[in-house]
Amino acid sequence: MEFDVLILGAGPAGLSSSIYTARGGLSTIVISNGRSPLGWAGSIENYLGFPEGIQGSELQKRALDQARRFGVVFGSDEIVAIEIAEGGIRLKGTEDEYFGRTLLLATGHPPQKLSLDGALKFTGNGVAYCATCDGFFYRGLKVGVLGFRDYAVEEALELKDYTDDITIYTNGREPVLTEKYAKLSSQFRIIKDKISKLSGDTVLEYIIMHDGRKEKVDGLFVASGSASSLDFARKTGIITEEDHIVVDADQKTNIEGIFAAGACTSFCRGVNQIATSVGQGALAGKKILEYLGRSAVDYYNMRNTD
Amino acid sequence: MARIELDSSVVYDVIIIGGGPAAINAALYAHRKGLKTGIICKDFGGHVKDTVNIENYLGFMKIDGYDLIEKFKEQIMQFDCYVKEYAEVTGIKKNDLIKITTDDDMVYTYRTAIIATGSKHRTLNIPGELEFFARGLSYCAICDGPLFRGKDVVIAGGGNSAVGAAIDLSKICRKIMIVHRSQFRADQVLLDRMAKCPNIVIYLEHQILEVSGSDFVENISVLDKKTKTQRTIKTDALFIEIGLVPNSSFAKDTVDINEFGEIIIDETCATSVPGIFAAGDVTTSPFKQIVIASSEGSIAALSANEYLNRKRS
Repeated sequence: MEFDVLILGAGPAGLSSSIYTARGGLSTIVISNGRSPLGWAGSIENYLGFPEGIQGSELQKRALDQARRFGVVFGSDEIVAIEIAEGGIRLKGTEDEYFGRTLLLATGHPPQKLSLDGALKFTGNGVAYCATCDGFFYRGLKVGVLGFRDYAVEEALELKDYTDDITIYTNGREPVLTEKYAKLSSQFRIIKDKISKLSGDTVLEYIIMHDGRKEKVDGLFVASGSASSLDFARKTGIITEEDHIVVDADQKTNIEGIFAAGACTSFCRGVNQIATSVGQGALAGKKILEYLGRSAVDYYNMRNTD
Repeated sequence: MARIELDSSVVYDVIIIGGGPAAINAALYAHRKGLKTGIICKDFGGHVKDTVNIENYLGFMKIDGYDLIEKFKEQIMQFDCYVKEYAEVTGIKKNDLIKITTDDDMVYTYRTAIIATGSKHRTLNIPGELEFFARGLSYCAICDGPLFRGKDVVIAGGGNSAVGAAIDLSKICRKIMIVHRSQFRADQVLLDRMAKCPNIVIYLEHQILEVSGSDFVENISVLDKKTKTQRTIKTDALFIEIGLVPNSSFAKDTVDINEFGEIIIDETCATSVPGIFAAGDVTTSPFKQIVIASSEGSIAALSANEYLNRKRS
């Protein structure tokens, strides 16, 4: 499917942005895995307009209806891969593929840092976060992928270009896979045991399981949970700072055509509120309109004067 | 929990100057941080309360600005909200504390200030402009255009707002004359759209000299700058769409402003003077949008709070 604007994430930033781009006449899709924290936030009392407070799920529903009215398309999908393509960006989801002339990353808070003992120590020395970027270094070696969702399987598939010895470690989780990826995962060795720590001298050598068993590995690719904006940043070379995407005053990243807004951006390390995400989303939407050569004036308003 | 009259003998933590979305959200955030907060404004709502059918404020499919502002106000009046309404700030000075003077010659003292005074419509400064305001002369074609259904109207200006308004009104007015003293500055895509509207007549290089009539606007006189000739154009309305001027003049000797009169702020909404913050349309922020102004208001309040915490520690 092709769109002017791909928006990844259906929180306050993504939804606000979609209203601006769709009103500006750009075909817009918001892709979400349905796990936005907005949906389960309790009573929100610091977003202007709702003196009685509003439940997160209610605000989300209202925002979705609002965006839909302007023709925003909603895609329920788990995005597992990103690629910079001719004239735009391609996203590969579990369900479908999407091409956009522009992309807005709005996936919210960066995931918590991997709390596995040794993960930090071996980052860059055996622990990696991007199969596309670092797979090459592990040609013909023994690699693991840490994760339990489709994203982990996608990373494992990516590693097949470099090695045949691939194990998926779910670290005590039952795999949560769509039918398609469940099938694809059958070609890999899957270890579901809980991991105790990572060990090695200067580089990663072993994954130590809770029962003390050791698994020899040369590389471990972290793909826990769903792919986040941070993962997509790593794969495309977007500059990050302390796990947040660096954007300029126009919400632009350093990669042509890719914008970011909300809690995944560097700005939001200091202030991270629904109001600021909504504002940033609107600004990004306006800037995307400019970027694609549209006037910043509201077209929708003009079409519907009455 | 209510609205309380601002007291000039009390030193508040933060004073918010203005009554639009940036100011109100700053007030909400300052109150929630437990700051003793005052508001001085001409009125609540700014441009928003004159806007109909707002469709891009997240959470409301469609709402009139007046109603949205009522909700905003209700939300902050849940706190002890110290307000001085119908007053204009005439000066702001900072020594250790911040001193603010108002047009009724009162002096107020605060620890921090947030300037969120928004902007006003740029005027033509021609004879008749004041006299015919709200009698056929308006600064908002989108707001008041529908009152002139089937009538002939003049729009003054050549930027996006003027051309956008002309396209808008072409569907409801009989004839639209767009008059501008130089060439168009509007985006090409808008000019293309305007070219498809048969009932829009364009007068470029024409300067409006005067607006006249008996009770309501009837004529404008214009100078054709090329031929140096003067003529009269009959019209039922004059919409002046020549941009906005930030309401920053009272602060221009205190904080840094740019060539457009916008108060220069950084990403924390700090101005060039420590302890004075600014938010919304009066600042250098790029788009004049409710959600963007409101977002800045919250940032300014949080920054003011941080500033106070640093000073206390």
